[in-house]
Amino acid sequence: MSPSLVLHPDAGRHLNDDDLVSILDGASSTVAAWSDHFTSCVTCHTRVTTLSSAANALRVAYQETHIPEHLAELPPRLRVRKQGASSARSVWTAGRVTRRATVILALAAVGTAAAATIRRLARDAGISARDASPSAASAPVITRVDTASIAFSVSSGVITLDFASVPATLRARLGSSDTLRLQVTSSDSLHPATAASLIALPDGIRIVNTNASGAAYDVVLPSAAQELRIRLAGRQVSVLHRPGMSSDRNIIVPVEVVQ
Amino acid sequence: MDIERLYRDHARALYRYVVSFTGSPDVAEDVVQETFIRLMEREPEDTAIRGWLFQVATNLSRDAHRREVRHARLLAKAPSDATHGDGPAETSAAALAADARLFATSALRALPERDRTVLLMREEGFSHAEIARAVGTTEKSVGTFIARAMTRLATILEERKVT
Repeated sequence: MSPSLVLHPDAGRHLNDDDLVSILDGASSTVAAWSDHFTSCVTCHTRVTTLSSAANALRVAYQETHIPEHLAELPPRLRVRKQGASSARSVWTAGRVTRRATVILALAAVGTAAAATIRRLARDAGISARDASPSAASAPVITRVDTASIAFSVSSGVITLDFASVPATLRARLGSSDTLRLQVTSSDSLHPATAASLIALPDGIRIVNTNASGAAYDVVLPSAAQELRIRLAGRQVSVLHRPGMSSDRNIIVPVEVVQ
Repeated sequence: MDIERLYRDHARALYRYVVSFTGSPDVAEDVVQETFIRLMEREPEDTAIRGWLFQVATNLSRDAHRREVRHARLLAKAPSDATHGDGPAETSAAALAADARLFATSALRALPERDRTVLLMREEGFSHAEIARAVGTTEKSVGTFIARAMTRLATILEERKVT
């Protein structure tokens, strides 16, 4: 099957690429123009049949892609950014970018010490390094809204999130891989007074946060997760079991001291 | 710029495009969010925001996909086969349909990045001019690009069906 134009000695020219794509797109005039040719030319008929079948398989697979329901609404990370953009703005400095990269790389080191595999941190560090390039650093303004994230593989079905203080929000949903991901969104997650340290544990993450940060936390659990245990200052305060988890929507998990 | 409206209008299609491109629902969500963050930081000058969003998402998907491949090699683990998230429990008919989807999407991901881009942008209904801009070619060449990519996809599907 050659995709290029070929002249056939008996039946005139074969189907060319543009005509083929036009037929795959369902253009009735092109189909009509070539219908007689297809009855006598096995090469073109086979080509159209084979590629139509592939195109149809792709179309069905594409149209039936599962799309999580929560994509219908603006995620917290963008919502906070949007709110930040409409209020206080500040000049983005290269020093700030450097600090972010440093924090993230420090997290990677902690993760390694905990024998967990940090996966996404290098990416975030890469973004920071790129942002620190002269072209990005010269951008006039950017919001102070920031995010930090940590992700690594865990083998346990029981996941623990250990907060130092009560977070503004904690949402959880099931992911589709063996990776545990935690995203922190706050108006200024790297401010020395409000920054949270994220420390990888063998079965989860310790979040050394403060009440003042107002940070929202989104956790994507490994697909095999059976239980999410929430601890506050070392004391277990809530548990989310597998039947209550969803891959389509975020579940708000309570984090408060029960008296 | 009404970011909420733009997100409502385009996030789902972008997600579908990226998850088909990369095979990873988690990466797809990251890429969709990052694409909108780029939009908020630097609003494009031309008015074709949809094309701009898909072009940025394509670039981010390529980067993310390469990183995932590197990670998979480093971790010496097979990449996840879960391409579409955890859906509800499926009946046998639905399971067959899901198998067919997996079959097609895994064949798609065996294609070179440019082939994937042209086929998926075609599925999204982009014009040949828009596809040409995304892959850096002329509008006249797009028909040939699509035909060749579809031929390679058909070949992979046929080979896998046989084996």
